[in-house]
Amino acid sequence: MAAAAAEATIDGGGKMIILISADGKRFEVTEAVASQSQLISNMIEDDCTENGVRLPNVDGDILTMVVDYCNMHAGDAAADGDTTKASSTEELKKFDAELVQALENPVLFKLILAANFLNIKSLLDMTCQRVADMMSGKTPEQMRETFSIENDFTPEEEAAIRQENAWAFDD
Amino acid sequence: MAAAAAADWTSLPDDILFLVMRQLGIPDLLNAGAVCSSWRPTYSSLRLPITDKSPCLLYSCDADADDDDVATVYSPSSGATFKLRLPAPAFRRRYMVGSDHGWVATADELSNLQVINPLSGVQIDLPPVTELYHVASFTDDRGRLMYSNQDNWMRRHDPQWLPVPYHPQRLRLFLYYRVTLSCSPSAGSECIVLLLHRPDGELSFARVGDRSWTRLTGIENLPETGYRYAFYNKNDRLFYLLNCLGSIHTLDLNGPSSPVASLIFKEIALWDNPNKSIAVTPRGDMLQVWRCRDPRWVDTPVRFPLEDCDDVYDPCQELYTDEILLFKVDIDGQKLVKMDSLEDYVLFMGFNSSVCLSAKDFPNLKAGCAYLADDAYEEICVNKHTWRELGIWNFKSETLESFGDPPSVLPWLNWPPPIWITPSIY
Repeated sequence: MAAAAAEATIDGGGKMIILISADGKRFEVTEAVASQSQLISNMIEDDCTENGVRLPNVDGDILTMVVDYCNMHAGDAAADGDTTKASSTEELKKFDAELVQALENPVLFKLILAANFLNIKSLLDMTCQRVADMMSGKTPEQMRETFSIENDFTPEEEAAIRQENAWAFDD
Repeated sequence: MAAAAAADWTSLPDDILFLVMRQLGIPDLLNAGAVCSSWRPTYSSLRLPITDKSPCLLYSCDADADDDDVATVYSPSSGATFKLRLPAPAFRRRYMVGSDHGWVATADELSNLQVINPLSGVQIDLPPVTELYHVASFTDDRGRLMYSNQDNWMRRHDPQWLPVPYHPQRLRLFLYYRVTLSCSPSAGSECIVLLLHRPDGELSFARVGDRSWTRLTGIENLPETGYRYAFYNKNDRLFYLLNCLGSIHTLDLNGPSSPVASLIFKEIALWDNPNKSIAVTPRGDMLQVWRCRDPRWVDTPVRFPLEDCDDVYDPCQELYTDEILLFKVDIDGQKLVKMDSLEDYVLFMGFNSSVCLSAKDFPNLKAGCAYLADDAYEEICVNKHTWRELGIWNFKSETLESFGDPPSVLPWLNWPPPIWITPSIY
């Protein structure tokens, strides 16, 4: 991809911009796609996307997923009058479900941070929901296993937590 | 894929962890808060302000009038109020008919019963109303579902009387007295649901998961009618049944064979008024609590939805408690011993199974007082939307005080009737 592509336009008349990942991978997307990121949308408004947008804390593989997601969802933000949207709503649901189901540690973790950094609310909500689903129905010990977390409470702290939660667990 | 270094979930920023934990139900949230110290602060910002096992009031707040699914919870012990969103059917459209072990028994607009734990959001359907021995459904000439009650007071005296037809959402007002649970319904078929119902305090029961109600009839030593209150004693695994005239029977539903009943306390009152209930103190004493109510009339009629105009007989009438009598039940002497005060106990009563606590264990509760909710089903069936009494009964002044000053219970709706729940997530 040439830097000149940053000035290119596509059929819809949208300007193209270049996203550059931490490891130097470049992604060419329309403004409509990129501006689902509130961060980039603000940059577009401020006219500072001319030379591409460097994203120093998003890896190429993660940015690939983000761009795929934004490409799929670009229709969301488009005009509501679009009659082809009805059928694509089902596709979108399927795409989201497959994306989120496939997410595992540590990709999920990185995708959440990317969604948070880029400020893409729908992607952040979806990934946070995935984490919540992974916690659902588990004991604290099972949650620690799922997320590779050490139990760092002292016995005194554990006793205090048990005491605080006694109303819920005692019959 | 990127370098497969394991993610450090303890480093997840607090605002993101907040978004995650906000999605969790209360049981999962409690467990998430116990995972590690770095998750604890976020948990603490979301946790319920419940600090102990004392009852909380579950009610519908006037300010949420446009949201049918939201319930408000007030904990007198912690002084805190919070909101819960409950699963369908809409909280606003249910009738409350009992509360035990953290679960509320409700009747929906088809008059079917379900039990729900408001804190965990888990709900279980009980057998349909048409599985009661005396209720049948039919379709009226306009094609609507209707119920008929085959056993009513008039028919008992004159078999020529026809069964009374009911709209599905009305039958519940005229059918249910109260529901008592032997344990948390999350125990499945171990949990016995005892139902006291009309025409005159008959008993039916089902185990959680059963498809139908079993009527308790023809059982030795157990009259078929007259029951108004029941509780389950987990120590001897018996139901205790209080008759409207003050007699007490025990009922054993545990065995595989037919139920076993015995009379342990003889009838003692001449009338079914005042309403009677039983409370068991932490020391194990059994109390009979007689709640005397009187009607009064207010200048401003209560407002109610037009669709319920048949369910409000007198919008200016209120039924209020004007006296509560306390008796210790002396089983050996077969007598009631009048008590001058509630001593250092705190009582919670209403449609819930009464809860009696020791005030010294709950310093923020008022010793010697009864926290009252309204369970006047005989009033509710004719005046569904009139004032539902709520407050703290002071036995010394014999008056009803409000919760806190300024009042900590938000203006409440009269429907559904506010009810006490003992917080639990199982």
